[in-house]
Amino acid sequence: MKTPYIYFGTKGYFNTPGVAPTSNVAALATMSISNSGLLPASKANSVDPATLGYRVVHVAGNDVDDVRGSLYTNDFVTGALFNDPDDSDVNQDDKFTGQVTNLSDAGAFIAGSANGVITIGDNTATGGSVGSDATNGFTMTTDDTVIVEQFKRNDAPGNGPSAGELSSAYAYPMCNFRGANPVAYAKTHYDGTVLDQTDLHFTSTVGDGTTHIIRVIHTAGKYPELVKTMEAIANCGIYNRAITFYDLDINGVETFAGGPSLSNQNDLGIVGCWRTVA
Amino acid sequence: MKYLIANDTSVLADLDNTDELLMFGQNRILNVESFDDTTTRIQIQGQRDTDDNDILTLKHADKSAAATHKVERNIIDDAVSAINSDSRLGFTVLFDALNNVKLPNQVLSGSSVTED
Repeated sequence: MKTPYIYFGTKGYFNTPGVAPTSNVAALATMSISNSGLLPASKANSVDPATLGYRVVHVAGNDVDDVRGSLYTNDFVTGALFNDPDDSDVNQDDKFTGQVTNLSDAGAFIAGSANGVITIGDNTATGGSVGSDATNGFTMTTDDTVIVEQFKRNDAPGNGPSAGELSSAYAYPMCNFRGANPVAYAKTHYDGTVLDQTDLHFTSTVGDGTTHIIRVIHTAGKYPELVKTMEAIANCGIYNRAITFYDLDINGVETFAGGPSLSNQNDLGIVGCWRTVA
Repeated sequence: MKYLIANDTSVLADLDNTDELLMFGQNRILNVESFDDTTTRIQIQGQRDTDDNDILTLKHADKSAAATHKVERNIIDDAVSAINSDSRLGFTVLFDALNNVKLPNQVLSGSSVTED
């Protein structure tokens, strides 16, 4: 019996609000293939994460003066200068609610953490120690959110094609699709989009009676469209190639199935897509 | 129902060894997945133990290289097309080292059959 195949590439995504800094230093929770599709190796403090295929983005949750490293001058989403004319201080090192900072410099991070852990230094220490200095660091508060986002296929985030046995692309026969389960997520993307999570279950590839889960993080309220998309793929009648649900290539190019119309646009607002087991 | 055949040995006398020749129904495929830069695997419900899997290993060019990064996706499409093919013979040969038959983007050397 012929059946359409559905193809999933991988985009790791780790959204962690409410990080509680200790002595101004913010250690994010441990990332894993299960919780984020990411397992970055312990990063030397001389390495910019962008060169490893992922970015670390800070979203301000309140207004605090003099906390942002001077290196960061423009909002990652809007491109606007951080200087706020309505603030008496009017310095780019002041953070205001909603501002998005791409921690794009290697010096923002403290090295030596375990695999899967990213630690962000503050901007208050003197002496210019890496990860804690006025140029590269960021003094966070618990109101802030940090998002780690993979933006191209790469081994370094821990889910690339050569990362041990952690595969990065999967094609399942739609006859093995077991169902789509909405899961509470309640987080917000750095562009302000509220997000939901849906787990797509497929018969396990090791024949052990369990299921494998493709976890999709997408715009809130898109679950009905997502399941209609799965139905459209299952009944598309295309058998000579796999149908791409989501893909991210080594150049950062994304491919989407789209919504129920299979428009090839990001109609579902996908920001993360990964298999929860290696 | 169509059937698929894979053979990784080029020695006729070795066809009766373990892990070289497998025939299975197209509805036994569990998935096709990229395993590493030069390997894609077709995983099949085990023929002897249905709680286990048989694995067809497809070798290919390096998908981490800029010039060949699409090979992983292309070989998955090759496999899907072969699995779903309307062969008038009733079976399709995925690859056969004895007769030098392979998928378009496959490298026969190193491709293998692993039974549960």
